[in-house]
Amino acid sequence: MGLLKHLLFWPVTGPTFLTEFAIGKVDEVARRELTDDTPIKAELLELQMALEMDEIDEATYLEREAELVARLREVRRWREQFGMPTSGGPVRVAQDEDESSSAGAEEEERGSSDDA
Amino acid sequence: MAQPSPSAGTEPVTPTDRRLAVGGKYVYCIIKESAPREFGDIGIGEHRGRVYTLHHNGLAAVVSDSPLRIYDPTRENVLAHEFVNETVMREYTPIPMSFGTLFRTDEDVLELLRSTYQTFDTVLEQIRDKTEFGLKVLWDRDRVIASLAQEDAEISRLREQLERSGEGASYYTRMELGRRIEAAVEEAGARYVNAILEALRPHAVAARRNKPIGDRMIMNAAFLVDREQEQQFDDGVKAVSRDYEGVLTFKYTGPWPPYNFVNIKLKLEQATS
Repeated sequence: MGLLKHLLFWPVTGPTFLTEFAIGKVDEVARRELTDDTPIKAELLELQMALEMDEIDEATYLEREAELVARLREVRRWREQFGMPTSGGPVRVAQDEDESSSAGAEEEERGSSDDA
Repeated sequence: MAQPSPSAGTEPVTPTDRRLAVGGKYVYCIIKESAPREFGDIGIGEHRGRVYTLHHNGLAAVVSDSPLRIYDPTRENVLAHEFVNETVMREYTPIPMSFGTLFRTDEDVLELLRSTYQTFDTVLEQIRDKTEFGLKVLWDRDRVIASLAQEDAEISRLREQLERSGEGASYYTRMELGRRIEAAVEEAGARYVNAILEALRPHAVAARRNKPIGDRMIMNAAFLVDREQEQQFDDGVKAVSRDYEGVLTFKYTGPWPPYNFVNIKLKLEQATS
């Protein structure tokens, strides 16, 4: 956590800073923490639940939600800087790299995540 | 991959945004329909765009025009997305899209319909006339512990022992009591959940359990219910919540589009230009 805090408050000084990140000077653990939004999303769910159960009022909810959304954006920025995929923003059907198999309707596959 | 990163959320709409807005399509769900439809000015975002359909061969994507941006998963945005799906659901059984799915052009949306046609068609057939209901069950842990102490002989014996010896109670007795209570609480939770699932299963086509949210929740389930069985399912939920009145709190929601029972992994990539 010490390192993470250090990184978060480090003044961003420009491209060199980022390149140094990219070439792996950052501790892998810190990097994972910076780019993982699952705990934030879980917190958001809990917060929504608390509102629905009348444990907090609307104003408190909105205040906390704004904080969490800001953190989500922060994670997204880090992911972009690390060249990792981000969710949101415009998408299109992925083009199959090998043209041979692009003939039909089998361009999607079933998976275990909750897309669609 | 490398995205121009339009800074998200509620920033002012610049002329550039407006230019981008021309082509952006936010997709809510896929339905079976070949005639153009309108669902009103209920789209996501502050501009509340008109919600309408784009068609391919008997399938339709329900969309609204939207600036190309990232929608934060705020309650307001999520509710807007859900409200459109609820509206569509009054007349159709939709395949819901995940929150925040935006395409650049009509053509890109049509390409989705074309390339995923078979799967959409099959799934729409499978979920025809079915809807989803959510049931979250919460409990008051302290209350459960209190009632367990009365039922469980071993717990009450340890408790008495603790009370008799007061401050001088052995560390071992305290530990043992804690462990015993923990196990009994867990067991009670599992028992409640099983009983509830068993009671509702006859009225549902399928059930799925998700991870509980927070400490107080013991069950976070979704049920796929045939429209003709809705009344029975509803009665079933009312019956179990009566059975556990004062012990458990039920949070019953729906009807939803079958978010938890449609599992199409779309092969999408970020559209940069």
